[in-house]
Amino acid sequence: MNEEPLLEFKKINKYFTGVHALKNIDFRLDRGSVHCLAGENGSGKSTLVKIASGVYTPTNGTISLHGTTYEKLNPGIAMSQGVHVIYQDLSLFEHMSLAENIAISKIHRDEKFVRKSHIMAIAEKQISKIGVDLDLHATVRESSMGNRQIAAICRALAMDAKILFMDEPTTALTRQEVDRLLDIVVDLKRSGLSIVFISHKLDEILQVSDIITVFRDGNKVGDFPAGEMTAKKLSFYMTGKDVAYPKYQNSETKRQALLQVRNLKANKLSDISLDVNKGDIVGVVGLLGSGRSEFALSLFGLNPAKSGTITLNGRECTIANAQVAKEYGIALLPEDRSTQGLFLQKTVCENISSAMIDTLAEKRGFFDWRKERKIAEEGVKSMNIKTPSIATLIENLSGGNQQKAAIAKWIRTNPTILIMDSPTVGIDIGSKAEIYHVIQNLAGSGIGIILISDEVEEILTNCNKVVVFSNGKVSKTLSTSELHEAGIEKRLQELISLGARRKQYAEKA
Amino acid sequence: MRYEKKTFEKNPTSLSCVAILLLVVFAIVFGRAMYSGRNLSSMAFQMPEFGFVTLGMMLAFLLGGIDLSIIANANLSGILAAHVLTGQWLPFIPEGMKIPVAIIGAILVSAALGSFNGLLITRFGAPSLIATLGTMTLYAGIGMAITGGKSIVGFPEAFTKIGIASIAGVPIIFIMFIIVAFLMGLFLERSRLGRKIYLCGESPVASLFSGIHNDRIIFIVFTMIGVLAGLSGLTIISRVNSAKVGYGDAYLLQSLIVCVIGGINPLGGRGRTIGIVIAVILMQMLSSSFTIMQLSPYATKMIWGLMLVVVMGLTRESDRIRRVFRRISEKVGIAKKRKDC
Amino acid sequence: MLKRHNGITNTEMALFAIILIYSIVVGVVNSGFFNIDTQFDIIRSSSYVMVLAMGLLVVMLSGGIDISFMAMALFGSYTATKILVSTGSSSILLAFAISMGVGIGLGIINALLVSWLRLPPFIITLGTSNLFHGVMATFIGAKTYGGGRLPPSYSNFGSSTLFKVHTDIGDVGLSTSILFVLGAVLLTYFLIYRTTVGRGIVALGNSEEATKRIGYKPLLLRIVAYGYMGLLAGCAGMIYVCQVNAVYPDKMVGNELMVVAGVIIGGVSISGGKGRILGALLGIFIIYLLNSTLIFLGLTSSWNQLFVGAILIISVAVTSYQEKKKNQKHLIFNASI
Repeated sequence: MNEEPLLEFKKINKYFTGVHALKNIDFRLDRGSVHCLAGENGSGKSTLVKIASGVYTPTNGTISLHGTTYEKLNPGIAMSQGVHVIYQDLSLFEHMSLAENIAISKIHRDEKFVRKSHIMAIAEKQISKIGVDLDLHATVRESSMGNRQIAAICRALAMDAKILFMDEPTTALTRQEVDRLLDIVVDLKRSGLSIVFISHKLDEILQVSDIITVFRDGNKVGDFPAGEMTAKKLSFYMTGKDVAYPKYQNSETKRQALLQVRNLKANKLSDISLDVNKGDIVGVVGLLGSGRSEFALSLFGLNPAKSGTITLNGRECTIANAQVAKEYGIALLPEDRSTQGLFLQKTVCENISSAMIDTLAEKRGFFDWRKERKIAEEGVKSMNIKTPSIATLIENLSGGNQQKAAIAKWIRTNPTILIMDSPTVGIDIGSKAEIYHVIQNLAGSGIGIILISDEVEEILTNCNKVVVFSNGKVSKTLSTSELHEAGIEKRLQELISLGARRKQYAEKA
Repeated sequence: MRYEKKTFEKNPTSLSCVAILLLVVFAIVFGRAMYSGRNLSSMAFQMPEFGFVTLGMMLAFLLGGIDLSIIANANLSGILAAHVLTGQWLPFIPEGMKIPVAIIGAILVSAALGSFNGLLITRFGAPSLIATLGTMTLYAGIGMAITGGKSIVGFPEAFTKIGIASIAGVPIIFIMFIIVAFLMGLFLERSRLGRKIYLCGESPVASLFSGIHNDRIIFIVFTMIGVLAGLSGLTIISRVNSAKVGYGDAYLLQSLIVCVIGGINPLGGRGRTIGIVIAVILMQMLSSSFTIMQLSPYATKMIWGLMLVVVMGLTRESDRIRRVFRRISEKVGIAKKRKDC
Repeated sequence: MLKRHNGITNTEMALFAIILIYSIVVGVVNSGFFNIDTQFDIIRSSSYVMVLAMGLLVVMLSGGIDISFMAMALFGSYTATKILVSTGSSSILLAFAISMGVGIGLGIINALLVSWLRLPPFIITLGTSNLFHGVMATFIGAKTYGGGRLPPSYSNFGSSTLFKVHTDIGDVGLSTSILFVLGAVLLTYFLIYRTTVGRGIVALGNSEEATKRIGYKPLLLRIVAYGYMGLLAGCAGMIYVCQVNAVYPDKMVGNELMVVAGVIIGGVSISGGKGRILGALLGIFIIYLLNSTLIFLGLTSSWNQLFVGAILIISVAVTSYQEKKKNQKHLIFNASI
């Protein structure tokens, strides 16, 4: 391909105070290609995107767009050159129609006055470009995540996008929606657009990507053809080491039931039955919309059961709210760490004590500060949390350390059951290994763990039993022996995503 | 909008500095007028009713909300108490019992009015701004409907005595205010429920996911605000020796100013009672100075409005201002040069 | 815009029904309510409030709120009157122009403060309301201007009518003020639905971050929104002053919350990005209707506030509860109280 590249970085460096975020990066994006940027949090991939879109200016180095070199870009210039970023939140306007969301960028750029018919025309043109059928009159609020994402893509297309950056595009999509998105990406690629994904969901992205660019600590490790990439290789490139995770085994000799759920019915759940025994780490997998997170919320009292039974340690429980769940000994590490799991602007100490305030009482009933401090220090030590002190605001910690603090918060409540929903998303691989270690130790000490996850390796490493959710029901349960069968990775992959479709895309492109 | 919460925390110390500065300035400018026994006493009598209202507003702010109905609540409770005290209602109560019944009744009613706010916010999910806008209008409306705008006079002498009584020159109601403020501070900072209030205000979602019962806390807090409103209402009618709609309307704006000056973040989760107490005293002195200077009510309004805006602006820019001060003091040689963190 | 239900929302239908039922009840109790002069009078005296509601709608769509509009209306009309009286001019057009110009200026101050301070606009504009009122009374004047000292054009305009109707008590006319209401409605419609800036204001109320990413400047959008409020406030102030044919330094201020209540009842979202002109008009009309016609039911004006408060609480409780149930069903957890 001797054509001129759409985008080229030459010797790009970016410094922030005390941090060398990008070190001498060369990067090249050709017309009609699909890239995936991979790397741990803080490795530099987001910084690259922000520089390409003009949000950050490089400390030195040059950027070329369509052959023209720039020392400095700003968002306006970048957009006019066809560089568009679709952030994870999609930047949509909730109460406005899809049509208007699609047209608004173009209208803002080109017009002073608007007309309904004009807006509809712009929107219809874009969706016919990609051959999708959408209810353009529906508001964003009324539309599914998949439709919202298409609207976001159309908005960029309406602005004559040449390069599309997409940040974690498939995280909130159902299986069909992921299929549809990947189809669209292939079509766009054929029409000459280039697309760059930031994604950790390799199994999906690998199917349509040409090149995987791996970052580590601000350096570009390399550009690798997608066909040759595997999860193991990727992990090696991202961390520089071969990380082997210890595989878990339930060492309990007698089966002792901790949690028994029978025919649970609640919002988004129609019939759930499962068991957690002492020493179990039960993996819960399923596509988005299958009910797995809703199940976690149900056990935790935030999605109260409408019918069915929950039995803990032989006692039947009615879990009407989170406080009751906590009292019964159920703990939840929620999916969204920053808004649900932690008080970002409070200190490490305050966060670790936040789930057990009632137990921190002095003789006269006052709040026991000394005990709080002790607990926080113990938590930091036992979980190996890297923080300057317990009085540091927790938002200043890395993702991995934040999550460890969240785990410390719940361990101190002496739970019977600990539910962890996608606990290692956005966490560096080193911390991941530590957290797996912690999970396995907790299970070994007698706490029943429910691990909800999208990552096959995470499930296989840690779980001795797997429950598959589908449409609000349990569709399959995999026992320990089944988990040790050959080909289990592929099987599990199929149950979680679309491993089998890779060949289809390779042929198409 | 991503607001920065941190800047509000540093306020009590800078506040104390400003307070001491103002005390000195007032001494120089007003001298005896401000610091005479009579003026100090008059300020000490006027402060408690306003102080209670402000403590209530502080609680609402700590949760990240606002309570516009506090004064209407105070007013209504005062009006109800007045009806009992003058014998217009429940005339069968013997003279000796009128006062305790009126007081207890007023507190019970004000607590109920406050808890109604709590109900609207928790059970119905109404935002605190509009819920309390509605109850403010309703409570004021009830007061208006009951009294028709007229004053209620004729309290038993003993009640009036409470309002003007003092021990060693310090008014009893002032002592009551200090005690209540002290207990409030103790409660917020040293009790478990207090800690939960801070967490709930900081992030209701994270609080929910920590197994904290947000609804119960919000309900309790608004009931407490109601009780404070009741205390304020009783204090007002005792001091003024009558009850009427509209008393204390100006206190709403002033309580917001006090909360902002006192370092309570309107977004929730930050702020200490001591800041409120200092700010209330400051406001009272300012108010008093306006009277001494014989400012028109309009000029007073203008200054209050200006103060609110200026204080918010200072808080917003406090980091920048701090840096400027540091640079100046380094240049002048007062402070040693510090390495960049 | 471009929504499926382009007709009328449920809230608006409910409000229509309430107005209808209430009117019938009042009319039955006291047939005087249905007299044409009563009806015309209601339209006349509610005009200035309707104009204000349009401005408030735009500000709330941007995600903010402004409770200084009465102070702005007063400031504008007072300044205009003072200038007219001291220069001896009688031009009503000039008066309106001055008043609206002052209003825009004050509105822009609000916009700048809201953008700079980044704190709840309710508190900021509570401060500016007092600031504006205080500044006006201290520096511009605190005198009352009675009808005798005002230019005759004031009362001419205030009592002017579009057409007259014969009744037993004499000729009664539909006030020209209604043209201002119509004008405000059309202008607001045009601003919100037909201009890029207007759509930007609505977008701002939905998501400030996303609006910035598109390329809009939130500061400019706020200047337009709050400035527009100021413009209409200046206009409304003049309407009021002409109808009453007197300028008091302390009227109007104090009634802000009634207008806010009306707009909220009309379904305009306090968090921004959602709200319709029809809803705001209906909501404000109900409040105004209650306020001024309870007398026909034999209730003194002492009962006004009570009814308004009750209606507001019921309306808020109902809409909030629906929202809460919807959030529960979709397992959405709320961010603030």
